[in-house]
Amino acid sequence: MQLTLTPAAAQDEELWNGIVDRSPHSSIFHLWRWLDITARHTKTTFHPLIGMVDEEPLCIVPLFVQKRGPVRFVFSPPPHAAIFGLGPLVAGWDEMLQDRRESVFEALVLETDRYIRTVLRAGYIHIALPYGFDDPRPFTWLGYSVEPAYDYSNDLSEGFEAVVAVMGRKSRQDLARAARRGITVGEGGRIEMEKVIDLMVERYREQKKMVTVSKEYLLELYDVFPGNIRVLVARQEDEIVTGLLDLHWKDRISSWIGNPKPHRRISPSPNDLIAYEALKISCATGFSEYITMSAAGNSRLHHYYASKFNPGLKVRYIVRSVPPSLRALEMVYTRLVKPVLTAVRER
Amino acid sequence: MKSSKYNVTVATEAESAAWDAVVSASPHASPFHLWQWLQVEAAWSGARFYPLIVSTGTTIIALCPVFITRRWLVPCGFSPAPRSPILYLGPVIAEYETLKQEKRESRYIEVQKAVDHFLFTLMHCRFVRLLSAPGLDDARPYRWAGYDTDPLYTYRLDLTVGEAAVWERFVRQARVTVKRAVREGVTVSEGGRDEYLHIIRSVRKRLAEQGRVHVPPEGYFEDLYAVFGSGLLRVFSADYKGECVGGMICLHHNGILYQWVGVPKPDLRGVSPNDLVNWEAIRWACHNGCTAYEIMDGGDNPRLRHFKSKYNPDLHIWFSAVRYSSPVYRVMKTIRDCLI
Repeated sequence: MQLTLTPAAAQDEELWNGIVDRSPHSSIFHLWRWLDITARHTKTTFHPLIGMVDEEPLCIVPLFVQKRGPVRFVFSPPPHAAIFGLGPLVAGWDEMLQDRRESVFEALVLETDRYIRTVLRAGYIHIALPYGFDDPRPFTWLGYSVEPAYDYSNDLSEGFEAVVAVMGRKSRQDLARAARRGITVGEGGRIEMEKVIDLMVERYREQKKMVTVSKEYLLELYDVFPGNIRVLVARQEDEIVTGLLDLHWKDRISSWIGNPKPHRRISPSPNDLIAYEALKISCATGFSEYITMSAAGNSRLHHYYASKFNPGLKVRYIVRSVPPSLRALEMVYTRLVKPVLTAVRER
Repeated sequence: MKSSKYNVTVATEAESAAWDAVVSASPHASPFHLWQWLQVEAAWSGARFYPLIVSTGTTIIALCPVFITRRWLVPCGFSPAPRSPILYLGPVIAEYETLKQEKRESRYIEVQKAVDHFLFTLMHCRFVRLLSAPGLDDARPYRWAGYDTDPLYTYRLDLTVGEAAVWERFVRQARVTVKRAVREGVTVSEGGRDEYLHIIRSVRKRLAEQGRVHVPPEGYFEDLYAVFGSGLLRVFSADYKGECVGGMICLHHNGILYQWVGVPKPDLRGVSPNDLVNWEAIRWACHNGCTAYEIMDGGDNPRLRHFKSKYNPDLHIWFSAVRYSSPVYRVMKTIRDCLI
């Protein structure tokens, strides 16, 4: 088996998206247009690579390059892009035997690493592998560090009754109380999405945090992918008090951005009602899985998300290659500079 | 260090039946968690053994066998013991697979806190290393407690699809090798103590030739055979022209046949008995009601990957978790590793 990597150009969009479509690990984040928009808004250069296996286009590797001072960084995805997993994809993975999968992926990782080091000449590599992909070993064998990341997943294939059957009595009572107090949940469009983003910004400001994903970026994504972004908002007395942006891709829905805590105290939380409605709509519209991205890895929030609808735990991986000098600088930044900056902001 | 809501006690011989009952009822428990295996391990490890029971009232919540030894006068905790030929140990959490996610997580986190309190506060350990068993793939409680965690991999074949389907999923070359070995007259049969010791001696000799400093003593394996020879340990031996040319030792536990110790590829022109040994072990597992065949630790070694993945197994995760009580001990450990 021979694998070669070649840079892709705009005219390869259809070929690229075809590979995305035929990979079981793909997400909407892998689509060419999404990546193109991401590169523009994150001030990175998009380096799309197509992997030919015995002259058949079978793999893609979306890379983003950024130069900071003398150092070139390679990311997949780039920072501040609201993308949880990206990295390489292999079409037809499910149809391959394990031995073939491992041979193809190991060759893909070897070639990608060679390309990054010799063509892109990057010193820092950070790749978050896609949801559902469980084999980062070829990166380990090349000396990358591997860190697991966690998501919650609800299986919807048994229908909505099965999803709500696991709810505790208090959760059910809370939903009924929320409805009695006039909280309603409904789908929205671009205007409602803007409002949800504004609420997120306000909530972050209250917590003395900075929102690193731009509103323009998210709205442009909505304009290009209106059918794949579902906006749910909770209203009380006609005012939007919180909301959630979900992403549709194939038979999966992922909760993406949202759930800001309302600025006035509302009990029970309208976010519980949104989560319930999101699952209900997902079941009614024929989706088979609901993914709560990233929450499971959060030591503060995991309990809230685990307690509602008894999700399963899914592991994905983040791989990194950082030279010792940069690792030392990174440690100084994360352990010293960043806490000081945060403390200054909080004053 | 904050303690847990659970009690931690060191199990005694009188609690061995209750211990094994939890092990048998837990799909993520390995054969190495069995009480008698741990006793053999304790006798040969050179470390103090603490079979910890985490409980609330009279209910056992979890088990965690740990070994404590001094390195450069510093107490260190291990599960499994250092230089042990067993791969997996770490905690076994009762009812883990059947609990709701929220309860599962909170129980797991409290167990981790309780065991950490025992190791770091009561036993003054400065370094702790745990290796989990496959099935307990959630490393978050350890990460949140300050452990460095690394994912590790093993291969499992799903046997519920039946013997014929497992055979069809072998890559073609593996099927050809098996057929050729049969044609050339290689036979595989279940062995007893003699074959068991022959395999152990071959593997020990091979490890010594590779320059491995810490080769487990033969007595350790003899003790294991004395306890588990008539059940858990299954020996598969390959014969060719009246001579033993290969074989392996498997562990039969909780519906899984684990490939544990195997003889390296022999110098036989044109005949490779190892694929046939594996195939006969898989057939044995299918006929004895096993749901899976595990090629232990097979996924982590890039050199062995091609040999192990040709049976088309699934990848399963386990993990290592390492924690130092302070950065000083991390530096000491690094210096020690560089010197030794």
